[in-house]
Amino acid sequence: MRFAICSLNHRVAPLINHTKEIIVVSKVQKKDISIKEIEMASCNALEILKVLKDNKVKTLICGGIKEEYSQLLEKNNIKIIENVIGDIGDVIKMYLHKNIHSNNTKRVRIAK
Amino acid sequence: MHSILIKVDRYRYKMDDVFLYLELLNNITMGIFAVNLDMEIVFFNSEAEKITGFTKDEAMGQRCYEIFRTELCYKNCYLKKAIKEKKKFTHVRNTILNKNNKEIPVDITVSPLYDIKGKIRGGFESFIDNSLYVQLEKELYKNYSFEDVIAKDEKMVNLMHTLLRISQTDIPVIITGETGVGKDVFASAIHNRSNRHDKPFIKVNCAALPVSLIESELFGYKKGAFTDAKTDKLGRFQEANGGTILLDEISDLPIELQAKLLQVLDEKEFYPLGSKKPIKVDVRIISTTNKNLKDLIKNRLFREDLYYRLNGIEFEIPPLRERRSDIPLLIEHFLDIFSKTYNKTVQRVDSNVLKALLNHDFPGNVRELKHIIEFGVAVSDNNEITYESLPIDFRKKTESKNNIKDSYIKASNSYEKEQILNILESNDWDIGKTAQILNIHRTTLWRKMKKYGLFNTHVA
Ligand SMILES: Nc1ncnc2c1ncn2[C@@H]1O[C@H](COP(=O)(O)OP(=O)(O)OP(=O)(O)O)[C@@H](O)[C@H]1O
Ligand SMILES: [Mg+2]
Repeated sequence: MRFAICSLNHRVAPLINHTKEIIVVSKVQKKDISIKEIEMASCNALEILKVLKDNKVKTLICGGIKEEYSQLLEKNNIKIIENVIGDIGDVIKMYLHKNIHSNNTKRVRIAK
Repeated sequence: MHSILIKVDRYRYKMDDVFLYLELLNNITMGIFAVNLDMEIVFFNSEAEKITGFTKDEAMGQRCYEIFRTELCYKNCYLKKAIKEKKKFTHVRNTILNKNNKEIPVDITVSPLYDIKGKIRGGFESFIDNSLYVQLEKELYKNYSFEDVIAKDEKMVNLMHTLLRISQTDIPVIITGETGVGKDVFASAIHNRSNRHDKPFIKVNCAALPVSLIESELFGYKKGAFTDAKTDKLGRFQEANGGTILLDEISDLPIELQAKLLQVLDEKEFYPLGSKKPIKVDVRIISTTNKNLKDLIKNRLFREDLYYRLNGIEFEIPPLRERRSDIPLLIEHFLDIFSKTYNKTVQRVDSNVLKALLNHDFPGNVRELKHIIEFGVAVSDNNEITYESLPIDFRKKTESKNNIKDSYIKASNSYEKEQILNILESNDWDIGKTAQILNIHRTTLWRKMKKYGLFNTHVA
């Protein structure tokens, strides 16, 4: 399992276009979790997409996401989990424990 | 809850009064919220729920910038400023990103919040949805930004991406497409996204001007150039200096003037009528036409050399009937606009209307759809447009078409395939919804999808 989070000051960036770091989380086995922090000099949609592609990430957790970003990412088969609010550590824990659900729709909306 | 009390007076409140105030704030048609000194939301009224899309439960306790998500939150938060400077700021314009990730322009007023003892406890913000005002303002100045091009069809999204790339450059653009497809909207979007956006955007309709006037309109004249020329007149090219000029219906530009335009393009200068001194200009040219310029070239009605100079990049906006997945989105957009214009709350079209619209061929493209929705909103008296409230000539057209539609569909498998695909795509591949729109059973839809090999390839 691998996913990424758009982060700003150790919390999910409220607006994706203000992402400072992209946190890539990979879980190989039960306890074997690696976390990579990628600093973003600027974060237009193409740059975010490039980082996700380079790191083979297919799921992105973010806060608010403007249309021009979601369109590009979805077109490239990135699953977006949007409107997430919170501390990066908590969000990672929650996602790993499947407390952030994705139903069948491509986009999942949750808050908190 | 005590921290949210407003300093109405310095006397103690009875508990009943507190509830009265809260009830009052809750029912006011203005978004209101309050934060403590950590910028955590401690009050959030019903209108705030409506405008942001977040419920009170979701918002309470969160930091306000994680709910409102505005660009100002990062640069210059007025609420923070109000608290720090103990000052009130009124009518600040801002844009929030609501829970559906749609940008909503708002007009905000902020003030510090004191407790009964006069100690500062946080801040207080009231805000109203300013979409109507901003929309009207835009209509007034006829300025469309890139975001105003509403589309989700893949062909259109690709166009938008191209547009985004080329808008920063100065290359001349030709936009073609049938009437009403949105050539003007795209042209404004290119200008608004360019580095010239704060310079003039001048539109000249080459078809609307009599041939005898076009030259002076475009290039201006010197006093005395002809009998009526009592003073100098600036041409549109000069007015557009530094900005962008839109030559609408370029195909109607008389052949004699095409040579002069070519000169402007080649030398970035021209001579106003009756002038011996050339004028230098720096303009970006966007031309639009709904005719086929190559045909005109063949018939020697349009200069080939000019065509190649105007054509840094040419793109065609597809007719609406070839991108039906945009129809529901545009309907929603126009419902929004006209509900506000007519002060109504029309939120949807009923399924018969949707079906009729999805099947219509729209010779007048988006403009035609816009007029239909405007009419529907204007005459409807509840929150839904019914078939009966559509313009009569549109109803006549669809009814006569419906009689032959069945046989038409059978005759044309590719039409049916395209139609199903469009509706599926515009409904996120929701089989139930699509079957409902097509008015067929789910299993029939499955069978047809299998027959045409339609599968959703976008889901991981
Ligand atoms: N993609 C779109 N999103 C939102 N509104 C649109 C879109 N396309 C067109 N419109 C609306 O439809 C109307 C017609 O668009 P526009 O004037 O740009 O068409 P045009 O191609 O220039 O037509 P013509 O050839 O007749 O000049 C306008 O009111 C515009 O606001
Ligand atoms: Mg036009």
